[in-house]
Amino acid sequence: MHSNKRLLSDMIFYVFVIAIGIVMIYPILWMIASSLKPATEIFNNAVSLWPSAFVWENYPSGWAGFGGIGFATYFRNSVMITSIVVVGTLLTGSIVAYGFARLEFKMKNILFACLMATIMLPIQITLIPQYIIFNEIGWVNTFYPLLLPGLMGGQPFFIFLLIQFIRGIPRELDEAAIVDGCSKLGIYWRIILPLLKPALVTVALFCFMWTWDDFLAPLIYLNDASLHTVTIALRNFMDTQGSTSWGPLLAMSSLSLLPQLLIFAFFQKHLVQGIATTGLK
Amino acid sequence: MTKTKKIPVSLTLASNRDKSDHLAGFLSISPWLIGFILLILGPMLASLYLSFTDYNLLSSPSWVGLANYRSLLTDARFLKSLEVTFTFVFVSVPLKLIFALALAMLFNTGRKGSSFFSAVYYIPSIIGGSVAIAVVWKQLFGRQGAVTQILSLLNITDANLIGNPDTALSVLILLVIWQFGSPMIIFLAGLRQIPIELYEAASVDGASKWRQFFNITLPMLTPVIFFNLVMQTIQGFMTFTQAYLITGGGPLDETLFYAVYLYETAFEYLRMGYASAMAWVLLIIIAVITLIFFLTSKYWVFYQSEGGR
Amino acid sequence: MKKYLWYVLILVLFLLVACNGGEQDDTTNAENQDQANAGETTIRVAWWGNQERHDMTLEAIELFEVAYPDISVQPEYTGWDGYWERLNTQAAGSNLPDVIAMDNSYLNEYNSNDLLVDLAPLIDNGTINLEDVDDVYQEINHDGDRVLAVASGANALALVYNVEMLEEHGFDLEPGFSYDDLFEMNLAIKEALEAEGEEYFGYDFANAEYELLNNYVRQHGMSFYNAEGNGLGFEEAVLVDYFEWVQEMVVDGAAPSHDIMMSYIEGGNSMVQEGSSAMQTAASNQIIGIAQGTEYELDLAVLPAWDGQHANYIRPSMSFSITEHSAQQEAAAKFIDFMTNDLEANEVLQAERGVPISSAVREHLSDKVSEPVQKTFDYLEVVADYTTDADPLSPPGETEVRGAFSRIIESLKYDQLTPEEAASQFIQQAENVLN
Repeated sequence: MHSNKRLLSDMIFYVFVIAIGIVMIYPILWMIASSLKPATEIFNNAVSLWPSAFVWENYPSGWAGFGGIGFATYFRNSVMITSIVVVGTLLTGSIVAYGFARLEFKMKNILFACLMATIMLPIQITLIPQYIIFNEIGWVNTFYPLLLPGLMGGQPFFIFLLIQFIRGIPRELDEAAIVDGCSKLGIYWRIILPLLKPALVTVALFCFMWTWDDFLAPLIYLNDASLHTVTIALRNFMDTQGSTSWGPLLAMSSLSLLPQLLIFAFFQKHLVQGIATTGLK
Repeated sequence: MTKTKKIPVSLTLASNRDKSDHLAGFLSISPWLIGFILLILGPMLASLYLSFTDYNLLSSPSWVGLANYRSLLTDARFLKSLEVTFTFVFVSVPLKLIFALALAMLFNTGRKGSSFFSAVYYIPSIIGGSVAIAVVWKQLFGRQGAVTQILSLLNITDANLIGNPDTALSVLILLVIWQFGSPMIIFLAGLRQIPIELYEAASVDGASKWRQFFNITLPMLTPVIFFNLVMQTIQGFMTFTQAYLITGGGPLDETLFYAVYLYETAFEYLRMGYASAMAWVLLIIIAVITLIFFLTSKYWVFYQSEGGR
Repeated sequence: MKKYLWYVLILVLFLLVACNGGEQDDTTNAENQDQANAGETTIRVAWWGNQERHDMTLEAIELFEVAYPDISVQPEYTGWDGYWERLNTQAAGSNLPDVIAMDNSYLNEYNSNDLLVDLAPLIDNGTINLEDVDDVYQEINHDGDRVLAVASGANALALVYNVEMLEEHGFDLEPGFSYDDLFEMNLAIKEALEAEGEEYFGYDFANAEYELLNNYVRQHGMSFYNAEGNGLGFEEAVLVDYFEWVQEMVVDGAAPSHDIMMSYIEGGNSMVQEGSSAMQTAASNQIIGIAQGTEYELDLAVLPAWDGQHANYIRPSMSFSITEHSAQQEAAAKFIDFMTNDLEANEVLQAERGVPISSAVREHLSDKVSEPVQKTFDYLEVVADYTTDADPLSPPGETEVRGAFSRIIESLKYDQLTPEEAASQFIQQAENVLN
């Protein structure tokens, strides 16, 4: 009796989840399918997910990139920038969030308001003055302007996210640790950080995704083709005024999802192994 | 600042502790604070200054006082963009959050394949800003797209939903809801953080699943709900990529999101001064709404660290 | 104790920064050395395009570096989306590349802000050799005596049409056909094809209503903008006439509705490609891209005549300019000269930017280019007989006027405005921007 009910609910779950799943994944399938279609067919036979003939050459010709600098370089650049920013964000972001969530200091509320205000101003507006600053110190055409934000706590989104999660951790744990002679840094390291794991994984995931997808800042700071990221390189296929190299563009777009999916698969394991399984002691 | 906060001698002990807290506090936020002062504060103030000038990027700005702000009031497209953006935020944010929460709860039941499906559901968010998704989406809802064909088979409509002024905004709202992966992941992380003992204790007391949801899950999740609400609202007001890449603000300005109009003004029409004024008006709008969220939060957001006392 | 821990942590952070920094420095230094070895002067050259153009341009740059071993080129290329954002940002930071690819619509914006070098002296002293270049190609790159850019290819507005389809229905587009002919031709084809159960949308404006109007007012002996650049240069009645024609085309079915037109443009394909339209407006060199996506045989025709009058003009499809921020104007000029005149380089470039402006290059290429490209060469010869003088430079603010125009034409095509309302609204908005 009980197992029947369970079975029914399982059935409903899977039917529901698969149905929505198809909607979720259709566009990606479309993209991959189109990257294998002949150029004349990409848009003229758009609904079909099955190419009339498989054209693999979009992949090598896309991978070759532009004038000798290929996607190997772009992927390397993207991976390098992204991983430094992710690691930096995890380290500095969690410290900053710990400070805001647990420590008392002057002007905390004002500074928090400043933190929030920075995400309320469209990046397009602050970009130009920032460019001028970086240009003055000669950092245009280097990775610094893209790496720096990651070493300064990361985006306010992440700091705020971590703050919210830290505030969800009972203070009794800190107090118990203080009794045990733990310093503030010790509390951060031994109590907060381990308990913050699901949130940190979330931050890593988003940070990877957003840094990888970032377009405007790399576009403006990286002039040299050998410094381009994958996102920039993808746009180099597009001449919306003239004609766009659709085949290679879709092929490389499909490929550029791969690292993100891998990262997701990797981190997701850790997401599942959060507190729920170990329990709070 | 320091002067006004002089502490009476009788509280020496506390003040000592305070002092070390100040230092530790500032040290801990210093990575952000240094970055803020060196790289963000300046450009922010610069943009505030520019909002009072006529500046075309290519030559030096000239002071015009409040003229930019004044012409905003009579700019029909500006008012249109406000209307579009508010509609968008009020419709898409609640729907997206409800969807994200429902699916996070579903995946948190630990059924086989949950993690696989949550990965699948997350995919749309990964490709959120990519140029490819714009093409895909246009194809789906375009004249010969799959969605359009299904709708016309069902005899609902055979219009090109993206090109139609009446439906274009709905398509974009759909797109944004489709990308509910980020709040879903955050909800999932939040659900994982709820101590399992609470549920065990409730089960022992014989509480039903629904009671557990309302008495444990929902209250324990409020910090995360609050976070998602605030951030999705802010991001909603700033929505740019989807509209810019797919509709470019059209047709007939029906998807002229605030950020799209701002970008158009700044980089296509080269009126950076005017765009800066728009940016600061947006900042004020978002700040007021966020402030309201924060002020009401003490009535409905429950923090373990503070509420536990 | 705990204080020390904090210091250590901060120190680690800074080390992290420094380490990454070190790595970065090495690579840039190596590059700089590379450049230093290769030559004494480095010029930065920026352009937009797609994969094909990037590859060809980079190859041509290699040839340039061989021909001028003392100059090395640092290419800065991107797609069209993002090109002007980057350039405008660089302008704001006084950090523009030496040579930039220039679009007609931005030429005066950059010129009026004193960002472009006058090329006249460099042309006079022979650094940029334009001896083989007919004046017509350079006409709109002038501001009085100043030369603001050198065209890297030329094109002219045209109709791209499906040869078989027109023949089949007994039509042709010999110069002299009128706007009404266009209307009737498309209705007739539509009727015939729909009787066979096939889809036919009619004449595809291809989002070029603005350019067509430009041609239309020229046919009336006026110009889009006045000579001072502070207002429009045509009469309201002409605009009303034009709007009436456009609206009639769409409402009566001789042209597709606006949303269908846009869905093709945004989808990246065209009606002519799939055979649901017999003709579309296009810049002549666009035929190359359109031909790639279809099996149909396509050709180019001049725009319709008004009262027997043609008023086409040849214009740069894009140009190269030297910016005021450039410290190596001489080397930059050599680069432009090379791209304009070098036969080998132009063989590599395959006239993809438009018809080469040097007659020597055109001759050299005539048997070395693909068929659609050859058609653009032929078309420019034809169109030369139907041209009138080019207009003065469009004023700064043109982009915004164009934006206003496309919003109004949209309403017009949706039948939400009468031609009279649309005309008066557009004129008011345009004058607002230009004043």
